[in-house]
Amino acid sequence: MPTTPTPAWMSNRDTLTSDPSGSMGSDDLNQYLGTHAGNIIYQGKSVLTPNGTGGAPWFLVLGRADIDQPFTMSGTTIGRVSIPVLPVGIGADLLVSLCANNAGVPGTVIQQTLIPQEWIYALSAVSALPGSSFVSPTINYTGNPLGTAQFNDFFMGSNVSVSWPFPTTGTGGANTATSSTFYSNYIIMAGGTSGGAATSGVYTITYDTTGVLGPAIPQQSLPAPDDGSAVMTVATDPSTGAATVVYTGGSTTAGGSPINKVYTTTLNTITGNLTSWSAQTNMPTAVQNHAMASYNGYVYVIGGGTGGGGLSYSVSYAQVQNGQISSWAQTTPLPSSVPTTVFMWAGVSNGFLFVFGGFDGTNGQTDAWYAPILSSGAIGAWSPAPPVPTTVYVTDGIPAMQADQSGLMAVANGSFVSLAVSEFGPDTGWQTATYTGSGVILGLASGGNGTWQYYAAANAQYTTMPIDLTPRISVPLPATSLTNGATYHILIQQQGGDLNNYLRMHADFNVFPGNPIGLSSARAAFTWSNILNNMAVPLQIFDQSALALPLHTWEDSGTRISTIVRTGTPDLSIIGLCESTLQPAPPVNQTWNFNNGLGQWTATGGTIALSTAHVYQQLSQSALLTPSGAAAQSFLSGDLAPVLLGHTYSGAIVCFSTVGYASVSVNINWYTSVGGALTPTSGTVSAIPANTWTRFAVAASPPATAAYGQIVAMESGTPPASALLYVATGALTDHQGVPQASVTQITYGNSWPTPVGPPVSLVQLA
Amino acid sequence: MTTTPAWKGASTGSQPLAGQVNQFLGTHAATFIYVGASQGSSTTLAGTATNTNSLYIAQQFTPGSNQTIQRWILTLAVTGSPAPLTYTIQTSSGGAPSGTILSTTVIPKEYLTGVATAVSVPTAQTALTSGTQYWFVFNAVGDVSNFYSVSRTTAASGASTSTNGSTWTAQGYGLYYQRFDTTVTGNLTHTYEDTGARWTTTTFNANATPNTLQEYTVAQAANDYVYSSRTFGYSGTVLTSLT
Repeated sequence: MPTTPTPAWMSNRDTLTSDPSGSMGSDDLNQYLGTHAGNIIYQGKSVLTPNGTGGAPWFLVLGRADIDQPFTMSGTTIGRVSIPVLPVGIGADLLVSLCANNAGVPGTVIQQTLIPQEWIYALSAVSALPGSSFVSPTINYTGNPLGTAQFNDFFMGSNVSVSWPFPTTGTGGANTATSSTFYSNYIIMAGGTSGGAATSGVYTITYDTTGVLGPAIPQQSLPAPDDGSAVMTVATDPSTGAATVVYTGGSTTAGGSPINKVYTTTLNTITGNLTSWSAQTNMPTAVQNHAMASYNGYVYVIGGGTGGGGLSYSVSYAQVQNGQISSWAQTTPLPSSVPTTVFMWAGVSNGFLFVFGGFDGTNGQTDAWYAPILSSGAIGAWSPAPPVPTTVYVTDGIPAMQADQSGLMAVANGSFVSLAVSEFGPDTGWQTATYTGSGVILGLASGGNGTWQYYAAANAQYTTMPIDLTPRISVPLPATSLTNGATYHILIQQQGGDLNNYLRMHADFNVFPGNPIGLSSARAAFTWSNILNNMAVPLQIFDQSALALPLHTWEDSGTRISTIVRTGTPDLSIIGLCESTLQPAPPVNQTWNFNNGLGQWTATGGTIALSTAHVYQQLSQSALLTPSGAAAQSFLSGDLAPVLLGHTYSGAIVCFSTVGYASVSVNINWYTSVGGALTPTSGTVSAIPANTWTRFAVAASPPATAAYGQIVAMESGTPPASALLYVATGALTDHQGVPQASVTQITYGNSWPTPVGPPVSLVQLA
Repeated sequence: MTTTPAWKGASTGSQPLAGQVNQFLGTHAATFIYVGASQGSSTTLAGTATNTNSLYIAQQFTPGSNQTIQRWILTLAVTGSPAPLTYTIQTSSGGAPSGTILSTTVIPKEYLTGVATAVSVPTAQTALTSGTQYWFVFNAVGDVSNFYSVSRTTAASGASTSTNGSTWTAQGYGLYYQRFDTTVTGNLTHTYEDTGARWTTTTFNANATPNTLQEYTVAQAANDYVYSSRTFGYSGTVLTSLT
């Protein structure tokens, strides 16, 4: 009988004569001879977006517990799920299932995908050192070239408000509407208004990575007062590391006309002291409420108000040398489509200059743009960046917070917004969280390992919270015909791993509308309880909208999957490819062939005996079923094998008939832990032709409370005694076998904005 | 080994061959077959058919010009699950198929339905001489329950049948066919590799995006093959699935 369908993808466990319990040997070759059924999964539209209020970083340990997140479905399709996962050590494989709801706990598996450990690690910008899951993880950058912004963003931890007896307003303190920036472990504040008049006071505030904000220390005053419409940034000399504070523009009178003055001072990063201010070469244009950023010893002045409602779209830049600025140059101006150039945020990450938001006098803006910074200090062409999820504009002259080389973040309108940026450009979208803290004077202390401590001070208190760089694995999990408004579950289970190598996830509060609480169970136990403190998993779900470029392929029900890694820059070059093909797992039942006897196999409605009359491939014996001729069903039942809930199993038999028979099937019986029979899974009843070894298979997930499975080879329809059935193999196999994974980096001779040209190498990362 | 082995799928119960691995290590000889220009046809259907159950079925044709043919449209149907249908182009001898085969294409049953349908079939590039008689032949295959049906035309002659493939009897009807040459026109319709060991068919939507893809590869055992049939799914013009 012809092998007509293209076999599903499978990786080999054996040689070409692979053991027949997992597959027909010919399938190993024939899988390459046809096109496979599958899905191309795109970025998609978010249908479930996390927006927590600050939770516990890496609180959930998948090495000890299965985690389930219920959610209310929006729409009818799912394309992929993005899950925050931290590999500890080398991590482990991750099994992700979409499940129906069963009285509040995960029920029937609708779709399932296994993500190999190699993918998770290769796409992570940070990981934890191997070690016990009972202590906080020690986080480090991985340096993985595919740990791009596409798969790594930021997580906001819980915030606390702390009394801070160093008010920023009033006599003896700093002023309102001050210009502010931060650098290293110091917030720097200058100018502002007090009693309606511009001031010249300057203060520094020390902070650390543990949540402690120091007092405001007076520093050398400005040479002239400023009403807070000036802007400052800190430039680092790339040769000496010296920090120069550059203070530009503003107005010497409250609400007055802009000026083009430039002052600098040197910040002693050991003591926090500032030297005397010195005047520098004036800017080409007098501006106020503009934006500033610095990179590689250059400072940039972007846009700003020119007085009388006028706006500048210019971008000027200057090199800071020995604390001095001797000249300014003009570079690529902002696009004319930028709605306003005042009160914008600006920041630099990974060699890209970003500007976003602004305030036009009536409305805040969400526009975002970025341009590459060239080696000359000039910038290249502006490209649109993902728009900010909420309107943002500068308060008190604070730029966007640059989180080392990992991206940018800011607080606006009760939201903490962040944009991951890597050397390959920005992520495709901002992440948001609900910010319940307060304060406008901002600082960000870097732990140097993908962790930061955020500060926001105002009046007599400050808010502080941890921020963690977060790997997010994108899991292709296509499903259609779902019910809008119904409850489903994302079941997340680690596969394998050990005490030192496992996975962790975040837990957060009030993550989703309706606040569905995450569930936890001991691994494979399926006994569910609420996650501690009623937290949830801040995952994200996307539909099957064919938006942007392909991100995944998902073939043969998830047997073979892939992920395409691209740059975030306009060229969208492919820089990596992750592939995985499942290898059929060994049978879970002990006696899957009869070379060594019948084991615990039994017959019902007939007899069972060993036979050498008809044997399959290299096997030496088969089990012979001789029907009684009187029973409606004659069948052979295998030994009981332990099964795991949430998994999918295949039952397969290979059998032979000299005369052929019309009604043969393979079934799976399910039993509870105490041997109680559950509803069996019945395979398709079909004919076995004469004199042809034929494989019958069925796949199913164990029902709730099942602990054991049993494979059954059956002839139905009252088979006559002459309908002998020789069974060569009867195997119950976990569908989720071991993945054969690969991760490949694709390199080019150049990087954007230089045309990248053709690829120059493929590097096997895993 | 100096050349890439011809395509060959694996058959259950057969020993694997080194060539079945090595077939993936090199490029295969292939023909890319486009719609082409029609070079001859007989297309007025009579509404009846001849079955391949124990019967070879052939149709004569004589080109009016020198031409090279590589694609045919035939009207066929299948009943039950017969072994694949072998379709050959042969020279003529004594007014009957000579047995000298110019091209062979194996058509799997999955390619057809129970309803007579015009299907495109690739062949090897076959050079035909003007004024010379040729035949296309369907081999006998199947039984009373499993067979192929070849549609007839209203022509009063042209077809012959045989019970053994060598002794032929002319019939009072013709068979439906269209033949196309190697002109590169229209969409890429077929690939034909290793003298028919592997061939594919692609159909297209009105906007020129692929609609279906069928793949056939001969396998080791007699009458065995590997077959795939996929339909492309789109969201607008963006490919989203293969089913």
